[in-house]
Amino acid sequence: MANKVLRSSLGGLADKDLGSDHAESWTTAIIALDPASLASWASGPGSPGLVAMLDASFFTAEWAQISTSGLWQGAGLTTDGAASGGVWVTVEIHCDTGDSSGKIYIDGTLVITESPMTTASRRLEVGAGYTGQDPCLFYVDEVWVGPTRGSGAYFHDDFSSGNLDAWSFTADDITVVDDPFPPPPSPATIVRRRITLARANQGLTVRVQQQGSSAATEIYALETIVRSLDPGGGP
Amino acid sequence: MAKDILTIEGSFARGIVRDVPRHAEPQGGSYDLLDYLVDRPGMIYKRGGAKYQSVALSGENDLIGMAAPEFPGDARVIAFASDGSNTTAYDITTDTPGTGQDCESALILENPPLYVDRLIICDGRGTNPPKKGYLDSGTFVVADLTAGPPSAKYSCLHAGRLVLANSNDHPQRVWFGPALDIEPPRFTITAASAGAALAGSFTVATPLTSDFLAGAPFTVANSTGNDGTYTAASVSEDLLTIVPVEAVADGTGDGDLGLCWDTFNGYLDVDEEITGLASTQGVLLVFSRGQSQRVLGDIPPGYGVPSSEVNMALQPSVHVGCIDARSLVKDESWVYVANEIGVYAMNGAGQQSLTTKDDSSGVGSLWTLDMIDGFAPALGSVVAAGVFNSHLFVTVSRRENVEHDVTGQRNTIACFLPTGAWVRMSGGVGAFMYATRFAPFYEMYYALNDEAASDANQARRINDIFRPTSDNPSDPDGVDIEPLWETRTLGMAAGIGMKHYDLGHLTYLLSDAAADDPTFVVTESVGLEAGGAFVAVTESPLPDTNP
Repeated sequence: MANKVLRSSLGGLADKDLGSDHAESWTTAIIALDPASLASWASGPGSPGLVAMLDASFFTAEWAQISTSGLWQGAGLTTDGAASGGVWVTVEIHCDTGDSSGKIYIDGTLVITESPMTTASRRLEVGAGYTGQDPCLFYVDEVWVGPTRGSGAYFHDDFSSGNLDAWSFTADDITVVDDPFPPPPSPATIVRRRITLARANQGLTVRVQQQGSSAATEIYALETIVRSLDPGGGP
Repeated sequence: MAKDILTIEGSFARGIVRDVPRHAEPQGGSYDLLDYLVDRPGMIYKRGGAKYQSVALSGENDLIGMAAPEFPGDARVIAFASDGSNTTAYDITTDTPGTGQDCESALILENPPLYVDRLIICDGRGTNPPKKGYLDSGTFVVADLTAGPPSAKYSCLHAGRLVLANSNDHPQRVWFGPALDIEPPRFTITAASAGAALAGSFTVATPLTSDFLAGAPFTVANSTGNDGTYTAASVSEDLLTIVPVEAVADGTGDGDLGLCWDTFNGYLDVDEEITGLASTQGVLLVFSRGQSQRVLGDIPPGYGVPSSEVNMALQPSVHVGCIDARSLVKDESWVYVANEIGVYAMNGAGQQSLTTKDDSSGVGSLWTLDMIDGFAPALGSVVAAGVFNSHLFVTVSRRENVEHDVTGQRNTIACFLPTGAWVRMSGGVGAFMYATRFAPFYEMYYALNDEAASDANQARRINDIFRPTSDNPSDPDGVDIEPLWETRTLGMAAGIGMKHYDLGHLTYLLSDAAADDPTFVVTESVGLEAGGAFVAVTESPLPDTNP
């Protein structure tokens, strides 16, 4: 069964109220940027916030977006690290009022640190919640929020339900779809599979017709055990 | 007492076998192999997709010819395109086609030969003399071939000369070009002495070449009153003055002169209309529809060469003809040619059929019944061949022939030359013309033989069909390659009578390119000659083999 992911386009937005304010939060989202949208963002306008942590009044604590030159960018407009399209990356947003900082990690590497950041964590928003840019498309495979890195104690959704019922509200073009960037298949192996052939007078011919495209097709042998039921030569 | 016999179809080395009943096909033979290749021992493997060589050539309907001339130090890929009325040559070596070069509606009916730095472009209609394609400061251009060649339809290079054959006036004639260069140099005239026959002369600035023999024809151009064709009577010892047989009308020393084609003496006539030329191992092969003759020797008649020194001679014919000069292709010491009977290999001394074999393990009936039946050379009816990677590709594009009750079809078969095994190719491989290139890298280009295809004006290249990966599971037009294997009649070692086929095992690799989940549909048909319908076995379809 195909992996389900969130698809956000043209102002699509999903918002989750975490229920209470948190002084510290770790948000982890596995996202993939549409290559055409990334190219568009990098050629001028930049992207809207893609994954964001906000307070109860929808004031931004920290978010991850793409800069006008195709780099990762925080809410304070600090930039670093070139973004790639068409591949899944892990974005982590760490908001901590204790040390007044917002940090963004890409695939486990710290790329952005911004301060002061004194906003409590209350609402998670994912989606390209801005309608002024087209194309504006990206995907989210899984997202979770907790008090410590990697925790999903506050919220978790892998979209396997096929809907967005777990979220507080959604807006515009945001849906759950099949993964557009599935991992390549594992290397194929040579197999020997049984087929049941017919009882036949005189002879038997086998036809093997491929359906669908393949990276490689190889046939090594067709073995049959033939039992003569009429060694005398037939009726 | 019943006995069990294990049979293994594990060798595919004979490829398709069609000249014996299915039940008599030898070990290693298959009834059908479509889009499988058999050049690796102990297996068959699916071909990969071909690739586009060029972008679509704007304003052109389709490609009617292809060439890969290896100009010295600067190999190029040339496509001949038709818009329905005119023929234009394009340099498609890179993604950006060069400016189209007008070929004056030339119908390209042969694989154009290369003479050092000039590609020979004959007009298959016999309307215009041959043209040359060459590089002018790195740009491919087309111009008339100089020195007055006849308006011949076919050409080849032989014994250092350009050989032309078949004009509308002389369809049986073979002409031999000048010896030292297919376009002899021109010499500046510095003085002219007017005079009657054998009494006038021309003096040139630099010594004439050694082939200005008495009796050799030459032309004078750009002169005051002396332009025309002459015959050399004598040349001075210092090679600076030439006396023509004809009168010299004007005494003004201007213009230039040079040898020209000796169309009056420099030829041989064969028995029938010529359909192609090929040179191999010092032998010139002259093809007609139903036979071929060979020419031995290296000194042709004409050009003032005394008859006692002429050593070119026609040899007896063999009944291996050529149906289309686009099927004439050379590789190693062989010339391959197709005709109504089959596909042949010739080496100047003998010939052998590649389609019909002594042990009946060939594809002669496939050729004669399914491919060439009802074929008549015409626009769009073409037999083309090309050699690449030890494979001979032969494509028959056949228009409908009501008289023979055959429909229009396009079929391509490929022969792995080391073993002589044939396979079939689906529509993504098939050409009006193939062109093999060696430098700077090995490749073969082709013009797709489907005028109705939306990409008929885009050239393709073939190398990647031998390298199937997830990058080329389809041909460039997006058509998936879905190979087919059909066995000979299995288990005949157990006799012809009632048998029980039970345990069967297929050993295979079927690798998914992405998330296409390819399958094998396995069907079976009972009877000696697969007379019944093919019915799916219980386990069909078999899945791919990715974990």
